[in-house]
Amino acid sequence: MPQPGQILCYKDYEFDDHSKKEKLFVVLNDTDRNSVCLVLKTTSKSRRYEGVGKGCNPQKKVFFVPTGWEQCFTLDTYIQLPEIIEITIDKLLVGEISRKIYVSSSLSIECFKLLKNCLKQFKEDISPQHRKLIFKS
Amino acid sequence: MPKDFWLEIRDADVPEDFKGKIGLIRRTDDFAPNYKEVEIRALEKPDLSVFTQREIKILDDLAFVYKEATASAMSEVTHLPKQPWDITKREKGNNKPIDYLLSIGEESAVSMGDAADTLKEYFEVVHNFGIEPTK
Repeated sequence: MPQPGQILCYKDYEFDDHSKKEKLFVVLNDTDRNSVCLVLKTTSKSRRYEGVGKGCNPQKKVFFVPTGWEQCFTLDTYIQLPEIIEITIDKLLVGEISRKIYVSSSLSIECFKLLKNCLKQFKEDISPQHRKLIFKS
Repeated sequence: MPKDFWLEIRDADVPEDFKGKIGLIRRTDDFAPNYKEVEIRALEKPDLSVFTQREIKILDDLAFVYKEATASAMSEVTHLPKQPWDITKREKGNNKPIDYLLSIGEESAVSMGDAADTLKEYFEVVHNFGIEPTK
């Protein structure tokens, strides 16, 4: 079961132009104890995030992990905030999606802590239900 | 209101999954006698913990603005010329989905480009994870 800070890799993620590539997501909560897995999506496309610094960039709604900071990413990676995606455990464990998603790696404890602190800045955009799962687990 | 939900409640029959949670009351509007109106009353205190503060504020603002409005008045306000419903009807036809991007204006905090990218990515998530936005 996915753990906080782990990276989920979605194989053959289908994009708007129908191309298929890997897409990475960061797990936010402890799914052993909860019935949903909360994730943030990531992108390596910088167009929207020109000039952002390493780590938390609340005004740009992104947490930037440049290559070399974390071994889990092979490209400069932008963790997109604050949109939290809720995946039910059923979907992760059975069915079509379960065959496409696997845990590929993990953020370091320090980096994940910085990410969570960054997320705290988006008070207006995180529901109490999600906040409880992410910060009190 | 989603059309599917309206079709379920328009005769004031409470859908099975809402039994005991909401009450439906038929209403009439003297100014629009041909309109069907149904008032929805909560029978249970709703669990609002699924909403963000921003979403709650939007819901509160809408509830405040339309608190005393009849369905026909709401319909009139939301179907004004050159507004999203009217633009969609003229450009795509009746009952076609209204593009979220039509809500972006010059005063919006987000640029059209960023909004379009965000929306595209949102629908990619919906598609790949099999998420039903209205459930």
